[in-house]
Amino acid sequence: MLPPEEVAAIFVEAIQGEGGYLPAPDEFMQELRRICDENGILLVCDEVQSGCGRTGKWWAIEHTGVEPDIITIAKGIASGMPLSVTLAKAHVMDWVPGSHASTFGGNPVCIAAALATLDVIEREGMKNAKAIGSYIMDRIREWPERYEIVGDVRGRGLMIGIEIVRDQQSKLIAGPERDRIIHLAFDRGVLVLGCGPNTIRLCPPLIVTREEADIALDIIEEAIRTVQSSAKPAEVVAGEPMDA
Amino acid sequence: MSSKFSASLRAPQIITPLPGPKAKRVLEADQQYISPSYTRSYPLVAKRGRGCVIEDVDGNTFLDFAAGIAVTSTGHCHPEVVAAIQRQAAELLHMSGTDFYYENMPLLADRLSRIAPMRGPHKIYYGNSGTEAIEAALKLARYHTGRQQIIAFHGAFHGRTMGALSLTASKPQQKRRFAPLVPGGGHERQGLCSRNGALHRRPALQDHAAAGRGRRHLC
Repeated sequence: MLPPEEVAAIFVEAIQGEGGYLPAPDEFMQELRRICDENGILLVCDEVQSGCGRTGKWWAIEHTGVEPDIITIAKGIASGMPLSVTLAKAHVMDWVPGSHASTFGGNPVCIAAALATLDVIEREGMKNAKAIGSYIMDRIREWPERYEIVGDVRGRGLMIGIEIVRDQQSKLIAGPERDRIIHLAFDRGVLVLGCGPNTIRLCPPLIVTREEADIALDIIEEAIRTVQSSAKPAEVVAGEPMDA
Repeated sequence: MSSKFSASLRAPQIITPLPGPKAKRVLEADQQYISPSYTRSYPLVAKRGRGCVIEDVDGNTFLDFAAGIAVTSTGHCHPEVVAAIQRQAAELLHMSGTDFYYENMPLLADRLSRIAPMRGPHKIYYGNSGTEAIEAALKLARYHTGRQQIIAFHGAFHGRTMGALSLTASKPQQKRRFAPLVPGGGHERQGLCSRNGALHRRPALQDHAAAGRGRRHLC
């Protein structure tokens, strides 16, 4: 417990990234905004992974109807060139010369890449993220019913998580199974990463096509099937219970 | 819409065992020299990319659903982005925005201000990485409010430099043996305030989200 008058800021990801691609509920974000307003606390939204059009809107927090005081931007903003932005309400960014600076920050080549990147995202990337994101969700929505080891699928736009569990009843975290699926996908030519203890994340470029999504999903689905059919029975495996 | 420029590379096409012979040599050199702290899940040695396709050093092609950790938003080597980089690289590489001015610093800021998720006016600080953006936000929050404490959430990842790491709580190995971290940071659970006093056990991620849908609040 902290005295609210000593709290400078609450940092939150509107969709937790490394934590497992977990969207924060709208009411949760709205409640944070209320607490911040009542106590003079700044709400900082970390949009490093979720921003720049990936969720089908420029920023993931826009899905929640909440306005933050500060956002942090990086990753997708310059297509691979190193650039980050801390964007604040003007009255908040009131620090004096010398209080903070960076030799490389705002490098002209990186900013040129960012301007071109925003053009492409604005013209086609964001729209496509929404369309292909929905298409992927439509294809995988029933996986938890179809596959014993798929615990949940979730996400917004092209920020999609597929959670792998030991079985639907126990909901035991299935980290090694998740890792095997990722390896099998690699062996078949599809690159995906994990996030959280047992989630596969899908975060392709925003210009991904429906055909590419189909090929990738076919391979991932096949990998899930393979791992499921070779999984050990849940009762002989000691795992960490997922539910408290 | 189609990623026309990926047409030159067809994927996936796996033509060698993985890792292939050239990749194996790179992995050996990497093992000799490169920090073992990186978290490589599988031995992809990337050589070139177009659109959603990555080709490795042995000529295998992959469909990229990782995008360099959600970075290559416009696809690999989008021609417009490459052209912008080449133009600027031929003109000026660096002068430092700390001590001098660049025409395009306020230009990008204006662009971002127009699409920001909160009403303006806005001001912008530029860094080089996500963790630096968080460091700047952390310092700014303390500076502006004159307060010390920061709240972040379990499961959060905000970066790996000491300040950002203090706000990160997604995996134990990110923090192991790095204490003491920056004081004044506390973590709250999202949506798990009253799960029958059993918070010492790891929550189900989907339950975590589902519980949150009904009652996620600060505890």
